[in-house]
Amino acid sequence: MNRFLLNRRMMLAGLAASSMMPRMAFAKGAKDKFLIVLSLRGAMDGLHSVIPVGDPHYQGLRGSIAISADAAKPLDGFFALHPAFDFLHKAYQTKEALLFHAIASPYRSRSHFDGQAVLDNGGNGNPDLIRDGWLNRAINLIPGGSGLAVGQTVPLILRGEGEVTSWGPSLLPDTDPATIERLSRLYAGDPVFEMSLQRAMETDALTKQAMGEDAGNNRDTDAVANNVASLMLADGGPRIAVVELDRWDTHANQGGIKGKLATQFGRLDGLLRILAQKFAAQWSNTAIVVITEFGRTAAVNGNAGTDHGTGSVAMALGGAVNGGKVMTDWPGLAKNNLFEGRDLNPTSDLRSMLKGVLGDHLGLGNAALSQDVFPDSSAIKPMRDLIG
Amino acid sequence: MALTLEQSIALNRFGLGARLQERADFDAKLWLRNQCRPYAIDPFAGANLPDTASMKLRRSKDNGRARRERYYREVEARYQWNIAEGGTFRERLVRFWSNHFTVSWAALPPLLGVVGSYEREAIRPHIMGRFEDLLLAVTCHPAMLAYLDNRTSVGPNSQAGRSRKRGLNENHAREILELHTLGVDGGYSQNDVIALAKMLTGWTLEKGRAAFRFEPRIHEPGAKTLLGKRYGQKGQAQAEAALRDLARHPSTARFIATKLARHFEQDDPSPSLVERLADVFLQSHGDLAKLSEALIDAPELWKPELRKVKTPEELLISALRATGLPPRLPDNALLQSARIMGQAPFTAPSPQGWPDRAEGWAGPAALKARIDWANRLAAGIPSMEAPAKLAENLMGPLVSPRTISAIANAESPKQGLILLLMSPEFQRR
Repeated sequence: MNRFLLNRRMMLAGLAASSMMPRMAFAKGAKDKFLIVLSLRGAMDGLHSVIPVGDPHYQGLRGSIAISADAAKPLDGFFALHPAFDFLHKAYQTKEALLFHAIASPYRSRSHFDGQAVLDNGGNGNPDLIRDGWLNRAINLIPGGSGLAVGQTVPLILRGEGEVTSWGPSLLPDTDPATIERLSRLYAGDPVFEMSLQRAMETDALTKQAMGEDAGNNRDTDAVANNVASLMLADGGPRIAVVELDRWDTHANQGGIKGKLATQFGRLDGLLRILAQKFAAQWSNTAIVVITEFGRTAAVNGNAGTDHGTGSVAMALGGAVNGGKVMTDWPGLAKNNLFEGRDLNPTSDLRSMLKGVLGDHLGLGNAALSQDVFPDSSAIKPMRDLIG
Repeated sequence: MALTLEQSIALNRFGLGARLQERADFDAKLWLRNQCRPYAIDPFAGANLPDTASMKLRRSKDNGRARRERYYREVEARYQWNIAEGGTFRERLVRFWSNHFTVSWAALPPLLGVVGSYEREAIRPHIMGRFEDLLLAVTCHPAMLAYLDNRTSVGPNSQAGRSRKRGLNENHAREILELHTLGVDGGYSQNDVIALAKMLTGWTLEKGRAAFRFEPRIHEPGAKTLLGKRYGQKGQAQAEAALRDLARHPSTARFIATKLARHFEQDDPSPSLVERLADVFLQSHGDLAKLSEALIDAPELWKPELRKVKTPEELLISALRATGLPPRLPDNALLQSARIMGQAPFTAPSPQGWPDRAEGWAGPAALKARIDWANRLAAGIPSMEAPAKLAENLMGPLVSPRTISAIANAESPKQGLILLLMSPEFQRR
């Protein structure tokens, strides 16, 4: 598998093992439920992944990049899945995958960077108002909960007071424990480095425990996914993780059945498959959620690609998921039904899906979800029965 | 003679870091002011680096190899210059503007061959010139036209658009408004994005050659309205006029001022500093030499508190300026170092460029990578007599007695050097 699929924070990460074994900070979660969030950075084209083959306007809008119903994998008659999603399609058939269409965060402009900030901060649409992440706030509500960012740094979605570390494949030999020990004394009281080093060493010790001394330095996507799963499944490991995947910004030549975006879908599908394999023993306790900052234009642009849009697709997959459905209040693709005359109109709020998952999978109450995790969101009702 | 506070700040905060044998016999502000003018001699004149236009666009094995070779040579020349050069305020500004106008090959590998020449041709000549000239040079550079897809954007009503059913690509226009000029809250709408995209149609490349060409057959004809102003010019002049107006816009002044203040002062800069820089930008019509001088004049930037965590590239360059180059350095070792720490040159994750806030760089795994890198570097440096003395020579009053004592009490000179490089003070500027 191509290793460039993974976000640069992950690919360029370098974490090696140390023989220092500090206090083990990852308390065992009350219920040992696993949640993996895959964040597709760059705005994934929902109309290209979960294809509305039954909508009379689809073929006309998409022109040269449209996919025929025959070439796609059938879902419910109206929607079909892009043929690159082999594993996802099987999971849908075995009722372990849910697809959400015409869904979006509350952000309604078309900047990637603000869109990602809103996707991560879980607020009402303002990218600057909230400076920590909804998933971190959720972790903070779970006794003993801890989170893992796959990559060198922690993305906004996981930033905050809850316990979070980051891990990426190692590229260099370890620094000796005595030097680390002196550094940690030098960092005492430092607002940035004290906590960061402590978390790094805790994760490092856990990594060695989970993967052995020499594991964790392979940077292929498969190997990294393997190692992340080992880390999460380890006794005392973080049960919640975020993986960022880049390269969804398909302004030109996105392709059809084959091509640029099909390749991306194939990689995503491969990652889902590996995670499912690794989590097999805990599959009924596992949910994988796939989200993106916004969708793309309903119509193909002048370069056989698509520009920044609004409504898109989200996914939930896992043994814990009550799947086999495309959940949507389909707005239609007629010109007058499009958002601002150009984008798939978002008819559901991503937060309602996420509330459904966090509530039923992690046991968070409605009040906490509407106040702490997604502030001022009591009007956004959780979707029910997503978790089975 | 030890460095004064002003000298330490000039070298480490405004510049790319003090050197091993730094002499404390200069006037800090004069040293900075003397850099607020273009280079008298192109620093890369002797390096014989190929220009962008000489790159072939055709895909082939040979071309792929040639592109990688160009990248390695460009990156190496840039590191060598950054590590050896005395006046690094200018080099910090080159990097600031290069990051503001990011071109990254991470998403488009063929750009590997032109990212280095892009910086030399479009960024370097203008860092002490006018912002609008910088914006124009960047916008018509083949690397940017390819990176943000404008090379293939076609006016729907142009001659080619009508016959070939091709059309607009909004990408470049949107990023000009959002990331290069006004900023995301700068007051533009989706209609403005489309208007600018239409004006920019025709800004493309020559056939088979990485050189700018205006192609009238794909240019969207007619007047367009951007931010309420009508542009009736014909051809290439239309987008040029629009870009010059965008460069002079008060939102642009504020956006640039905020980013500069964030880079030099702190992650959340003082509003008063931002306001002063924005005023200088507006009143001088985007004179970047005046703006650079305004930074030197800003009392906020001369406070002893170290508030900015270095990026991996800043750490790499300042560390090698501090230690000198190790005697045996494998090919591309500096590039690999940057990659290991998460910042290989010209691979920013998006057109927004590299983060300029601590949380973008100080995560647990990132810190671990820095430590292991410093460990590796220290192992390759011939034994240092007194790393504690070196720390004082490099950072003067910026380094705390506690850190000096930790370095002085290290088990070995090598460990002392690691503690120096990884100290809270050396990790910041």
